[in-house]
Amino acid sequence: MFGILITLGIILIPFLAEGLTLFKKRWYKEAALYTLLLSLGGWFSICTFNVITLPSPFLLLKAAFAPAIKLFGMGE
Amino acid sequence: MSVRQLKVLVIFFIVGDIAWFLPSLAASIVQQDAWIATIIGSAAGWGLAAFIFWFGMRFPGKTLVDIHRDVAGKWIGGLLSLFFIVHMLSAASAEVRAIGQFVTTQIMMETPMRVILFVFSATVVIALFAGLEALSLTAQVFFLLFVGLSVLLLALLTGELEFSNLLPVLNHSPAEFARSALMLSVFPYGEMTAFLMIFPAVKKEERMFKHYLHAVMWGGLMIIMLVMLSLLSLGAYLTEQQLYPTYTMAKKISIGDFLQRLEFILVISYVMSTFFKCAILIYAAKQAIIQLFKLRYGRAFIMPVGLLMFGFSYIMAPDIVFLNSLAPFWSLWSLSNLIVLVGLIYLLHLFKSRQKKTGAT
Repeated sequence: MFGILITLGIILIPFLAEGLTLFKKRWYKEAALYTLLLSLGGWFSICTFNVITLPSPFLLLKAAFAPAIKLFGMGE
Repeated sequence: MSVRQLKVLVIFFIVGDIAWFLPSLAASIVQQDAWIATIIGSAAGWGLAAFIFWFGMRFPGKTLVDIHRDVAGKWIGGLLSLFFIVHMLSAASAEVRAIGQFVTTQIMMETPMRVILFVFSATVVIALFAGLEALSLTAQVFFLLFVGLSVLLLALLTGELEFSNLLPVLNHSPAEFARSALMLSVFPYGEMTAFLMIFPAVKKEERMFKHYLHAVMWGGLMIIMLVMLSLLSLGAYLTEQQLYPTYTMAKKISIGDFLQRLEFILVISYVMSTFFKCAILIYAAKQAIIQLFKLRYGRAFIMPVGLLMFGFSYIMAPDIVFLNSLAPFWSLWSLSNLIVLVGLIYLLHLFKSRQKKTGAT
């Protein structure tokens, strides 16, 4: 709970400081990207603070390069 | 930014977090011949670094995102730049994770890793807010300390070295040397594509390439020195089996049985180099995001990018076993990024230039 509150604080403070400014200036592209990146970072950070284990994105990397690793014999 | 500052950043980048794991990675394949593989890998890496510089100079004043857009067009160039951003963000997160993993397994075992990750990420974000110029000036100041501590480490370890640990020499097949050298060249040098976002900010000087190459070689020599020291003081078996062989090696320092526990020398040096490497990678990612999406106010994006780096550094791997198992995959990923994002783009640029010439004639 404490971790969620810290993360929400870390997200809300810059959003109120910078994000709303982008909306006010009608820079919608910047505002949308800002909100997206902040949300994604916030979600990862909440998982981190609350020790929530997500499947690693690098499983995709392993799957993609597994044939090459096998071919070059680099796995051992 | 001056060329001298670039040199310092290059050395910090190459050494980076390599010192934590590279000796054990090299020794896991070629054991006591790891020093030979490191020399071969470093030589190949110097070629990679030189190629990255040469590529950057073909397009003066342009960053990698600009080059992708100009050569491959808006959509394909944008996709390639997106791959570059993901690579840089992942690499920066891996640096943060490396520090967190080391501190919580070797020094502060009771501290939750996320605390270390947060503190380190916050420091890198502050560096981003300060800007590239401030970062490079700070690097110049700390470089003297870094070199001094490295020389001190070398001097203090001379009593622990046993040259018999290098025997027998050349006891592995060329294939094993090639596998080891591939990882030893790509890990330190494969992510230097980050400098393609920094080169336009450097004041052009005569013999800039010569200065850059000096820095690349010095970085490589430091890596060779670390691997050799590790093998000479610990031997091949311990170097391979230890999670952080350079830290174990530094623990062996004992002068007259009263000057001991000097491994902090190593920790300070490597935290510094890891910090600067992380800052350069995340700066490259941030700049690439700003240029790719043509953002009018880039400074606002430092916080979200920093938050992404912090969060991703934790979720990227559930434990150290998984993280270490990524080594061969990561090396191939870095290499393929180098080939596609830089090599193929240059070939495409050459092809388009020739078509224009034949079209004009």
